[in-house]
Amino acid sequence: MSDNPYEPMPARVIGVSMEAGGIRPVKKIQVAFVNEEDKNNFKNVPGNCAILSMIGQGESMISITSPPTEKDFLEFAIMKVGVVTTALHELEVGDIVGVRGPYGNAFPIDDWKGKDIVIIGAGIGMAPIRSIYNYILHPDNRKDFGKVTLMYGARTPNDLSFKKELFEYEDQADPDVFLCIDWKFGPNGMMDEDAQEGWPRINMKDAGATVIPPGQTRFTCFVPQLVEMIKPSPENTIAITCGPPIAIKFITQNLSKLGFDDEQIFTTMENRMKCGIGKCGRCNIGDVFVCVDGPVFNYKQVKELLPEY
Amino acid sequence: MTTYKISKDKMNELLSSIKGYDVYVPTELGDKFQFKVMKDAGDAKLGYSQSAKPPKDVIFPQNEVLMNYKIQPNGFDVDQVIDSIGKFVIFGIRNCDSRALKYLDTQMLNGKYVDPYYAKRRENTTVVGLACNTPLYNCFCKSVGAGPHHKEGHDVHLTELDDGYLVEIITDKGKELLANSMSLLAGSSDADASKQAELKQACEAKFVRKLDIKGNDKRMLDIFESDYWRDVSDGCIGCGICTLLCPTCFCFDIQDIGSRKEGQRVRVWDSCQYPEYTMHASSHNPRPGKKERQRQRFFHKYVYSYKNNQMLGCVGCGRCINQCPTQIDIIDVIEGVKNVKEVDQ
Repeated sequence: MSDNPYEPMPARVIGVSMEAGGIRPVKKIQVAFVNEEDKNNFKNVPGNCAILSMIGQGESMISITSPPTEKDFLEFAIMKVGVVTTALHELEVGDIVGVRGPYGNAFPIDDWKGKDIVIIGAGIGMAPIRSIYNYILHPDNRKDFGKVTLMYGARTPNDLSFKKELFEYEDQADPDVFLCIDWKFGPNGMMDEDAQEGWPRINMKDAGATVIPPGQTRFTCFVPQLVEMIKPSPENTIAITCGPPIAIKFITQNLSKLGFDDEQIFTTMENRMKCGIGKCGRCNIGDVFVCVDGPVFNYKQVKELLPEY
Repeated sequence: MTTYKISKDKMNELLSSIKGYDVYVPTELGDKFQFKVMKDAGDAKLGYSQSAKPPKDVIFPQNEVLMNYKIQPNGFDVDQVIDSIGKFVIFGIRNCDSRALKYLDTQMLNGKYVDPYYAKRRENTTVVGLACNTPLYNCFCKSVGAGPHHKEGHDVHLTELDDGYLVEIITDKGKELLANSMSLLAGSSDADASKQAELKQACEAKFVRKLDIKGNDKRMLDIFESDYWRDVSDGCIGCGICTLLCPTCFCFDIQDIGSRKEGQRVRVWDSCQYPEYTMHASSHNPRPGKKERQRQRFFHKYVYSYKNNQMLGCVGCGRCINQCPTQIDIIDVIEGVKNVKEVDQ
């Protein structure tokens, strides 16, 4: 690694998997550093981001979705939306990509030892917090934490990322997994009100009153309603959420209603970034640069930010 | 510090004696002035008022190649452009612009990461300041911590007197720059020093516009959500000239030129006045309108910078006022916050 923070380190793509389809597909890309030295110097913690560099196309700040317990590779979940992410979607196993980082602060996971953990993701927002649950559920760390609950929602079953591992967790006794979708497409390809087989529709106006049938883990509702329905206890618990700004807003509101203090709720805020090192200016919220001072904030800190995010 | 004097007719000789540097001097460009690399000592117009564009681009160029790269079977070949950065002199910079360099230092050199390109150029640049004797109408440097005769950040400081220039060599870098020119310099007298003090006083008395910044940062935070910001940015056409000509603005974009096999990574100036600057990939934009974008400019300069670096992000050069096509006037805007009624939170 050179002294120049702008210089990307070469990494080789060792795995590509399609996570979600649709017009904004998500791919998970697994990369391994070419140089042993870079691998050893790159010490990521859950919450960190890295800048992926596609030669001739540009760079993008992407959160690291693999936990630090995976020493041999890094994983990124990338939604295809722009020039760089489109180029990243074209990568094949064996291709070279640039990586620099890790950037940003981290989730204070060590402070959470002995506590119950509730993880709430919406859409692609599951990517940055996936590193937390995979870290906590790792056999080396599992004993340090209490009960783990995962809640995750996306627009349709097809839009759920990390399906493979989440469906596996769903079948296990630990952790508790609850999934939701906004709707499901019917056989004619249109949004189908009745085709909710396996995903019972929840009364959105009064989700808190829903009686959950034993063993039912899949629902048709929005993520905030899922939280209202599952009612995680705030007792000795940390809640971590990430998703589109509107989802974060209502999820935190519902957590507060359940009795969570602002300091028990963590989120990761991401703005557009270019340099990743607090120089280029664009990711600020007031006097805070998200790339170096964030992206992880607890809800108390979020409330102190100027309302411009 | 040692003070000398040089007669006006020897100034060109002094400029010509500087070797081994790219010497940026104020030159005439139509009815404006522009800092350019000196080809002939006669190009230098030291009697200039203010350059249209601040000489910050010597240290922070508008387009700067960060690296040339080529993809290889086992990684990249990255060419470290940084090693080829030469040595520069900014000759005749006004204090507003040199104070801005000090401000840029807080942004580019402080914090967890140092910007290596800026650091190298900054280290390789010798700053020769030139005291300002006649401020322009919209100059207000005195109100924001700079001053027409301030010497901070200068390696050599010049003051134009009637019969020559007073030359104050302040740092070792300045000494090194003029090492070959010492024979052109003569001693200065007490009369010259008192003349300098007189000029300083006379210049300070000429300022027309003033800005009282006391307590403004707190006041601005109180009215962050006020419609005042919509009103003051109503005329904005989003051209970004206020930020592109600002000596303290540092925002940049990083772009790639080339193919997927080899190319260049280039840093270019960017502006908080453009919608794409903050737009997320999802098309959510934290600063969707000109209200939010102009507010960001005022707050960054007058609130955030002060909080983070105890230094205002405005040096009072007045360029954004002079060049704005719709007369958005930063002095009026910042003065105006005093009269805004409290907003209901």
